[in-house]
Amino acid sequence: MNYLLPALIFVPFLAGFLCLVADRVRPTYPRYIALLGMVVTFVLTLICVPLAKDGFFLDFSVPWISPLGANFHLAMDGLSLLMVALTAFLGVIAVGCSWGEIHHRVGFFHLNLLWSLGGVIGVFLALDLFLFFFFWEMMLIPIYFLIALWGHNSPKKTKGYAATKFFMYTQAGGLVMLIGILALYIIHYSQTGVLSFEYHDLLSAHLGAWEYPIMLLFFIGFAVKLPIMPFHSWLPDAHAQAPTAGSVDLAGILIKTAAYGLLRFVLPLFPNASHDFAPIAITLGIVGLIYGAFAAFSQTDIKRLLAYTSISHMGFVVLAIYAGNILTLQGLMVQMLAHGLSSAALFVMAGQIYERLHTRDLYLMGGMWCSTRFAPLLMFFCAALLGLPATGNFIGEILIVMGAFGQHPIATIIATASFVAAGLYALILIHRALFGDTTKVCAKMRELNGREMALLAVLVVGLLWLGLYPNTVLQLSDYAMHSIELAYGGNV
Amino acid sequence: MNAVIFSPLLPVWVLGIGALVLMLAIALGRNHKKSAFIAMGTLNIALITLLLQNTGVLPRSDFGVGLFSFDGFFVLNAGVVLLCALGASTLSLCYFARLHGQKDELYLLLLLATMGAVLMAGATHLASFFMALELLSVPMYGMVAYEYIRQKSLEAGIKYLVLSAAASATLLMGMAWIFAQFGVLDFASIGTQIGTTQDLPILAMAGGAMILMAIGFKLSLVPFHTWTADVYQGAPLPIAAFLGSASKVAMMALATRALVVMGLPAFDGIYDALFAMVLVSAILGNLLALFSDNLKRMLGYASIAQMAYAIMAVLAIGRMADGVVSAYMAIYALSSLGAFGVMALMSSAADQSTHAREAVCLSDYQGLFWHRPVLTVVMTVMLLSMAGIPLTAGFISKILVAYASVQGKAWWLLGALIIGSVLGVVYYLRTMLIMFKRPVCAPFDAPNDWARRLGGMMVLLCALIVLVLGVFPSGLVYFTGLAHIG
Repeated sequence: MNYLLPALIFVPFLAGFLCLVADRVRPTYPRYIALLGMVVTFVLTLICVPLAKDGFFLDFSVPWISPLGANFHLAMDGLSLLMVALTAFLGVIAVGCSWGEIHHRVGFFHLNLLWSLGGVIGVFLALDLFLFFFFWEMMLIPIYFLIALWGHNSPKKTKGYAATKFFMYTQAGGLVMLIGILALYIIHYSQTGVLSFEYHDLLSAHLGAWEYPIMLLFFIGFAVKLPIMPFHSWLPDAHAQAPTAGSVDLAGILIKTAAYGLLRFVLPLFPNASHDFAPIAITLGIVGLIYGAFAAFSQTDIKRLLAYTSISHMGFVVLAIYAGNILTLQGLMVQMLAHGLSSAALFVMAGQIYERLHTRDLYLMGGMWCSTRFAPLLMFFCAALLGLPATGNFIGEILIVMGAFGQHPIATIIATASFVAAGLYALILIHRALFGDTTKVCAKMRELNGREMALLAVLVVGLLWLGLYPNTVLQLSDYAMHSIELAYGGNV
Repeated sequence: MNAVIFSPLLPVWVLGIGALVLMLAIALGRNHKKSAFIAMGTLNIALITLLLQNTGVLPRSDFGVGLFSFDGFFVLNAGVVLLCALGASTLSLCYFARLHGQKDELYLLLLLATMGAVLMAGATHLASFFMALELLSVPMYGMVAYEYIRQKSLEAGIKYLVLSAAASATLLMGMAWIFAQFGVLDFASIGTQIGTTQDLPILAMAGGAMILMAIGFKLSLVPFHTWTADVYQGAPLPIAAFLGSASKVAMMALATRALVVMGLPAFDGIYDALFAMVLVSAILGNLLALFSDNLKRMLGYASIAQMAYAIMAVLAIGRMADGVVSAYMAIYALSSLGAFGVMALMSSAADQSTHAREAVCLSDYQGLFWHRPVLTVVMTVMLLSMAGIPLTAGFISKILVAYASVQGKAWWLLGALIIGSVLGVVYYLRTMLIMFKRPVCAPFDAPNDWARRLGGMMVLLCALIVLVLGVFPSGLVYFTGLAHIG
């Protein structure tokens, strides 16, 4: 029994609650409490790093709903450790970037932010499918509030519309997945007579003809959240309307929960059906990859542009997951972390631009070269987004492409070709924001202050580390990814 | 004599005696508080006797067993009904203080209606079915129209009277035809007859269809739903709370028992009809709720869908659904009692002569969080519970229904459940969000000491139970194991 794992979840929850209380004392306190809470959470994940061994090295389980066989079972392996670390790290960034942006109802804002982060950590740690679903659904409400209360109204769409759309999509996906979970549970019960939502128990269920339909239910649940092409339309709206911290949350962490779900649950639980489904999933992924890239190119709102690049990158994620060999899976690990950091950084910068210019319209920008700190940073993160060498994105994408070529050559060739499209959207972003008439915006472009520089500098270091020495990550996730490869590929 | 006194109907005797005592007390002198406390005392004693008898502390004979069944299903549903009635009477004490006029008879009607509702939870015979149902309905007309100064209230009372009487007449006719075909009136014998009959006797078929219609009306399933929103809107808030909790629980218990013991769904036609009603109700109820900005109407329409979700479990796994339905209804009743309770508290400070209406518009709640945080949290918990979001008991009860439907492989019903829930999210969240928006100068506010009033304590308790059961749901699942029919 190890209390590190529940602490990882309860620290954000507790800190969030304290934020609400502290707001009554003085409205600036919640920021410090939230920052402290997330730093503590991050330190706790760092404490877990030296404990890392093969397999699930930390485990915490207490009975929860015993009549149904659901336990409060948390466990950590290399994969979940890295995901939790990313969450806690971006949590610190999210608190930091709200410092200058949120002035109203500060305590309640941080309550929602921290509870959503706590819920995400719960998703990454839960090894009981009921508990997993519990956290999966629970994190939605705080994010709904973040978008609906502190978001921005655009001329055409209100923040309430975007928040509701986000909630409806994910709720529908979640309930579809619930049916899958319950079907799996019932089949396992009818075969063994044991009521259990435990991951390891359910792994041994023989699903027969049910494997494919249940896999599909899970897949739809995760595909909505990832999002994969036909289910994606909530993401641009949610991003465009969300406050900066909400966008960091969504792009950096939330959509990674879906990738994690596919890795942790869909591949090992339904290996045969996943193999049969792989061509369809990869096709959807490739379509999304191309579509997202071109849609991003044609956006004028900087946050919508970034949202579509996320959709595009998820195509890589799907390709990596369904190719399912150790190269692509390890590439995926680096790619998820790097994409989390680089997209979070770009959303933070978009927020900083908005604070200065009060617009996100690329046509109203231009000439930001005059800001000597801002321009190089934006260039760097765009380069990371595009996957230039020395950034983590490069390592991730090159590993995925190398690994997938053997099994899915055509898809891989198309995916590689999409780098050109990625170049287009990254360059158009740089071109419109930085070049052109400098007189328009220069006066308003206040330089980045120390806090803002610090946030971005940390992200730069993270991306460079991933790009130059990815071994730190690869070693941690090696065993977890090997076992996923074995579960998925071993059944061919 | 002892057999009569210690019949399992003892709680009902208590309610009856309480009603008589209350009547005498009113004759001796009117006092709103005194009447309310007599009613609450009676309900408490009834609840305690129910518990004592079923834990074996008080003896229990089997007087009355022919017409009623006193199984776990009865005990738990009757307990929930009594609790809801208690909640509604604490709210009445706060709310009706503002009313100019006689307030005491309301509690008399409330006790009588509760008596009917408790009996409904146990009825196993067409005679007791009808009698208990009428004992609930007739006092309801008076209660709905009680605040007759408000035009809507009187209108709703009369509307409810006319439509409900029509449904009762249909029910009676259906019973007559069933009796004409089979010559028996108790559910179990009808069930055996239906089970052994090969071809569909047209008389029984028609009778069954009419009974189904009456049940559909009382549960307000589409297409018999049109009265719901009007009656909810017209009824004074504490009465709407009673209507949305105790009366729904009792009706659902009766409907479940009647359907599964009589085996009406064994007829293909009747099964299909009920299936279609549930499917349409789950979606249409939510759609209607989506387009109403009056909270009472919204909850009224939402109740159509909620009843459909509960019936889903019955359609999917039949008799095994008894526990799930009981748990679902108990949580729904608790949530709706809490939600109406918050509205009643908000309206209760306003003097009736200056405020002709109640605090039921969405805009009355804008920014409530910033001056009544605890009350807002209570309302939020209730709305989340009805929407089925984690950390509240509604999440667990919705999962239980989904679980039952997956067990019964009822994929169409699950589809309706998903579409309904997704639509439901929109209006529950909309209502929730408005309470957290920037405050405006609202015409209504709860009294400053609301948390120290009985109604306020009741509402807080409801929220607490919903939260605790949401985080530690073992108790709720255990509850489903106890509530068995037969």
